[in-house]
Amino acid sequence: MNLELQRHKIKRIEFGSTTEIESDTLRIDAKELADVILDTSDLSVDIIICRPGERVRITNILDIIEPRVKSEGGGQMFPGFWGPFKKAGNGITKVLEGVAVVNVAAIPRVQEGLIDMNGTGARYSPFSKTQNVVLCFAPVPEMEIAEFDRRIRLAGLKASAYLAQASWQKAPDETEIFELKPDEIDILTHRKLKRIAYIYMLQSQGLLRDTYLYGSSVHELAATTIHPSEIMDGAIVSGNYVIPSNRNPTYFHLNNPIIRELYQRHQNELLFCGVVICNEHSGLEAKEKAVECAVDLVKKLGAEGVVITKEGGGNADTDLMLMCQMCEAEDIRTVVIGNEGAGTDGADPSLAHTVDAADAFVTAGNNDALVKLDAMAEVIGQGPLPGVTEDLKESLIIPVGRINGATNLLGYNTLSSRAY
Amino acid sequence: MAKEIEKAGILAAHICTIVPISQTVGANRIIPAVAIPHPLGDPAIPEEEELQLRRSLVEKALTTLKTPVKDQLVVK
Repeated sequence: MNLELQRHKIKRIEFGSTTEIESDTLRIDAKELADVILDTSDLSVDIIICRPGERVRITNILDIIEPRVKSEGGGQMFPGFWGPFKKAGNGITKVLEGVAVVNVAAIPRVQEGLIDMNGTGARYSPFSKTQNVVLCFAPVPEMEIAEFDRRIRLAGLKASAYLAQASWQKAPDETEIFELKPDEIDILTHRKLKRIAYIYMLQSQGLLRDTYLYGSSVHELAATTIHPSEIMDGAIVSGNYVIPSNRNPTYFHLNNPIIRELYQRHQNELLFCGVVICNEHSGLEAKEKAVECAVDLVKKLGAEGVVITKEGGGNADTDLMLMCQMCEAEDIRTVVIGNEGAGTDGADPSLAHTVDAADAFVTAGNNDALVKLDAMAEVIGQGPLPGVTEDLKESLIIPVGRINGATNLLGYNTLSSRAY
Repeated sequence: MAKEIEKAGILAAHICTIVPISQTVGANRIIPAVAIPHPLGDPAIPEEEELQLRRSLVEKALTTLKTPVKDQLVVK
């Protein structure tokens, strides 16, 4: 499996009469973009550009996607969602680096949060630094929530591919090639290096809490192996709207930093021997089954060590801890990554579930720590935000976990915690 | 919640889906529930069976309240 990512670095986006890239500017024909989105979705959409530094607060955020498309004639991005099916992870994929498509709609039961493009809040979200194409979908009261959400997801994915098509005739700023053949690892040449696998726990627990593998929810999945290049190329799509810092939107699945680091260290610091994905189920027995199946698969990969990440908080701590405990019991060393819910002063227990085996834990920060946000000039979406009674434009004090991506569970962001 | 209620001198039985979390938090009487989105019900089974299931969970909780415990008790 050989994946080539051709990166086009975009520093500015603006509306124009055609969708095109000129040096580092992406111009967007809003009418054509709306037509592409609405072709199959039958929704009404308002397209707004949000640039870093603008005094804008975005709320009602659903999925966030990096614009990507397969090279001309190279197949479909996000296979399984539309078009002819061809597995992800091979060939050339064009990437608009620095741009994000942000789906926005007010849906009850979504755990709300925000992205500030300016002020203190902008320090905490990776999406305060991207040029954002915000797709605001008007509510359709007579439509079932599941159907509304499904159409928005498809619209966002299509918008992502449409925008990236502007790069088809352009030479990329940077090209990266990812190739991994775990079966052909030369044991003799690399006998001093440890075999390391990645257990990538996805969260799929029902309506508005789903994650998709090739277009299907992983709701019923126990565990499976998957090539890391498939994940980097759109095999996994998010429809999970838990607390914003506890979610892994599609943007992070595409840019999973653990996979990137393991690739980079492959054959010099370690042998990257594969990825196992599994689901964090909503019942305990199903959780135990997924853990058992995942550990069995990493054993078959011959892993001596694993990195484990999770999505979601509370019950997901149990998945993380059971996985860690069972790996260690099988003599597979573990490093686990998570964020904390340690109270506003950091003095509460950080996790809902802990085990002694989890002695190498990397923290991505404390979700409960309060941050004071500056007042903004404009708000996209209507909230409401939990615990906030003020006008949403005003200066607000909120837990940092409500900011999208702030304490990201894959370590995409740079926050952490310090113990005193 | 279970701990705070017991601190106030009132016995508590915790009906909880993810038992290890209840154990970590320190509940004394734990009754395993169905699933996170529907702890006390199961949309996949017929209504009558579900009623039975719901009743049995609540009855287990009430019976457990009468049971003296030394260590954390997880009702099977």
